[in-house]
Amino acid sequence: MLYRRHLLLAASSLPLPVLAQGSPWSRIESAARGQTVYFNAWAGSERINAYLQWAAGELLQRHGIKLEHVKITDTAEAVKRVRTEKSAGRTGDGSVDLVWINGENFLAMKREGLLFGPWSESLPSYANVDTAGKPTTRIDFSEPVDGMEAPWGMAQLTFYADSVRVPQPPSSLAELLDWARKNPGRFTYPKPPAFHGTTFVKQVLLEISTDRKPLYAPFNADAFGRVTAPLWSALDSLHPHLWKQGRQFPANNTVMRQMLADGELAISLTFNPNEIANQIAAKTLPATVVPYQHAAGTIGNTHFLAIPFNARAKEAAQVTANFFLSPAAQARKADIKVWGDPTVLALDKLPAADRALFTGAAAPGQLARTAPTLPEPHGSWVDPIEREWARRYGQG
Amino acid sequence: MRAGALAAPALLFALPLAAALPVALWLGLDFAAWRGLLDDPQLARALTLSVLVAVVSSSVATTLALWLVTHLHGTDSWQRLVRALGPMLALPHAAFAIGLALLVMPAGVIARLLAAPLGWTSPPDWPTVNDPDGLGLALVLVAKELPFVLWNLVALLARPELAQQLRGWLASGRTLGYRDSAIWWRVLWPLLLPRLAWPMLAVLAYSLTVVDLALIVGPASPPTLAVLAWQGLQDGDPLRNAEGAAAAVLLAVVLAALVALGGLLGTAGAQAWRRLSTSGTRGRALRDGPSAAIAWWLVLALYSTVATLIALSSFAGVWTFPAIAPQSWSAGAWTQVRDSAGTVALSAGVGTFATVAALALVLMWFEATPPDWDRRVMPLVLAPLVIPPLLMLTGLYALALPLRLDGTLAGLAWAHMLAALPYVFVALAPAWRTFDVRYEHTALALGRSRVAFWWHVKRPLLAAPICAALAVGFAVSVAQYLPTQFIGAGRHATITTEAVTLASGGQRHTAAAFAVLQALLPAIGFGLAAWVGHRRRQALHVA
Repeated sequence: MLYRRHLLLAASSLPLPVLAQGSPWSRIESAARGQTVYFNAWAGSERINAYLQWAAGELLQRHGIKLEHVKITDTAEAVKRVRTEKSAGRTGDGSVDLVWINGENFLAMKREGLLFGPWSESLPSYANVDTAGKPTTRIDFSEPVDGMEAPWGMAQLTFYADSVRVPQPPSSLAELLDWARKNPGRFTYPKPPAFHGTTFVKQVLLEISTDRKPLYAPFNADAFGRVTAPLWSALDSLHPHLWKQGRQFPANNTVMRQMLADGELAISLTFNPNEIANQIAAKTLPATVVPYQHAAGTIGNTHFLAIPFNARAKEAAQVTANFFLSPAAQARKADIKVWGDPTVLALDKLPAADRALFTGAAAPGQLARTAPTLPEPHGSWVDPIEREWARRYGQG
Repeated sequence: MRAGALAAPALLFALPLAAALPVALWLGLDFAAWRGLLDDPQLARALTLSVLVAVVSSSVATTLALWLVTHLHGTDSWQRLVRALGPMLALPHAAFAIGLALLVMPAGVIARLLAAPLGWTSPPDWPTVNDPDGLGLALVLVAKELPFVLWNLVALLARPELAQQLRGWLASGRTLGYRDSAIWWRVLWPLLLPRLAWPMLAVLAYSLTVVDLALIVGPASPPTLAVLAWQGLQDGDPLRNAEGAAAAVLLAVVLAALVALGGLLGTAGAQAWRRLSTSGTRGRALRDGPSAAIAWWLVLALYSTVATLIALSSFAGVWTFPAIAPQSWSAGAWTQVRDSAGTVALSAGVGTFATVAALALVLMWFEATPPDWDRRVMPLVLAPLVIPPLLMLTGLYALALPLRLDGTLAGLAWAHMLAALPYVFVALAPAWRTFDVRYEHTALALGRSRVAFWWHVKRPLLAAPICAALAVGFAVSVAQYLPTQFIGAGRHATITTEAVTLASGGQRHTAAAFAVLQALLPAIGFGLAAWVGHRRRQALHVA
């Protein structure tokens, strides 16, 4: 009796619910043992890479799964590989087992039948996901998720400035434009289709447009000119005051972070509200840098994990996703000292012990006030907007 | 026996290379792709940029090298110059680019030094790194190709038959009243330059088609044609892939056109030069000697500064402009390196395996063929140095896919072996081909087998050149970017792919730490080779 109680105690301290022998989930878990998961994930950040290394150690120890981080610079690379494999008739034995994804890449994979699933909502850890409070966990860029990908983390467009140079950060697009006029050359955004650049362009579009409704439905060619006209006129007036007079744009937002650290830029942007605190802790940004958001709201979304249709290790990929959704893994990911990626879980659904994992101490560089989240326009708008941007500004 | 020994080099090296080119051309000759490529608004500017950067940087590097040799050959500085070339060549291009950027970028050390006297509080608007006109890229190429051209010149001038002629020509020129520099420019260079056609072609091809350097310091919008092709080849859209392949074909066409043009200009220029040179004037008494020595010191100072800056930056924390020294220090970059020890191990492992395999193939060739066969295979051996790697790898990748070699370690090692083999071949050929056959005759006459002779006599006698060739091949493998990304299918990170990804991602300090490693690994290889060479020489002296 004593023996069994100990066993139950030990089991309850595990982050995953332990199900009865022979349940579908435990069958998946035992099939997963010994498999290797090739996880294709954007590798532009050292902190993220380090977090994945930690996860690899845990997965090996707990589940006997080997997690290999395939470092990619753009998720489109992984989409391409799966698509190429499909057209070459490789329906099993694919080279991608798990991919970090959202938005237009998810849309493409879902539409072209490149995904395995539905699977995500039957993960044991999915029960704790905050689907009510964070609706973007079920609707990815206005496209229903339908269980074809598992939510992993939350993001919201956040600006940051060195308070030494910018004591009063602009709190709206209009104020940003005003600030740029007075401080020429000290702000810019990554060149679309770099993810953060496209997001900034969409932020401008949402802030300036009077009729957002068409943007939340699939792309409409007839409405494009009317809906995006205010965007182009806003960018036309902003660009002359940007870094290099808007004739050149940085490749991505990590380059911008370095430029801000150097003093070349005074305002930059990120998609992770906790990145600033994280970078101050890592001594890559001075402690005087402060994050802020536009008061009326900034674009926010959820990033996900998906399994390609031809993945070799579908079971291990699901166990990996389930681990990433566990309170322990989510709390570590949300820890500012580790990565600082906000959780997708509803903390009030968790037992007190798990909830306690999330109470990190306040750190310098944390966001003081969170603005409302503006949902992403439908993913099908991204491509036309990026193409029009490139036509107008991309040839510099 | 001979056929057996030739089968391996043919199957593993010659055949894939010969097959890759037609495959790549076939992939790049898609009508829709060409229409898409020609419609790309970036194309015209990307093409102009690539041609300008390549032509300007190769001509400047070559001219600079000729000028330095003209004025420093035969002086006290000459031996020092020759000795410095090894370490300069061993510093990988990507590491050099990362370090040079730290020096010349708007928030770089030069700007920081100028900030106090000029009263700057923010970095200046300098077009030195990622600038739209490719100045930063051209600067890196000139500085990094200069030692390569010099090394080829040194090797040429050191040939015994030439060294003697050289003394003769200089002596007769002097008796006619010409100064040494006039003799070099009017007589020696016109005679010697045709023999430098291969290295000059390699420099031009490299400058035109390089991807990793262009990603680190090159222009971004639009990028060079090579980067445009690379972006296309990596894209998710099959049509963009085909456009990338088409752009790679275009690069090869442009290179061929430049070579043809260069040949024509060279012939015409040589005639005009001959008229000018034989005019009988003795030339002004320019005293370029001291300035050449100073210029060489500046080049050395540049290399030392670059090496120091990479090391310094890898330990820097917050370092805002215009502070001369970092405001805080951090071991974070090196913690990252420690955490990715697997990356370092993979680089070293693949490098070792690929180089040893390349050596084995080269030795099979040398042992199975007479020396004069080398000249016949030379174009094939040197092909990887002059055919745009993007084109070659497009074909190799297409060959690797059905063989399931893409993304595998075996495929990766094979791709690195292909890259390292030409260097191993060129590095080993002189020693191997001039090996005195009488040793072998003696051994066979004494009743020893060929294998025993090879192992007990030839291998120890040639240990030093073997180790030197291994070190060269290893350095080449460690520095590979495109083959690692292409054939490795992005699955295997090496210190070079990490350095390039981090540098183009603005993660300066970690990129610097990987750049240090990128320089350190080959240096260890060269150090070991030198140590073995030294011990062999000592052993021979004792014996």
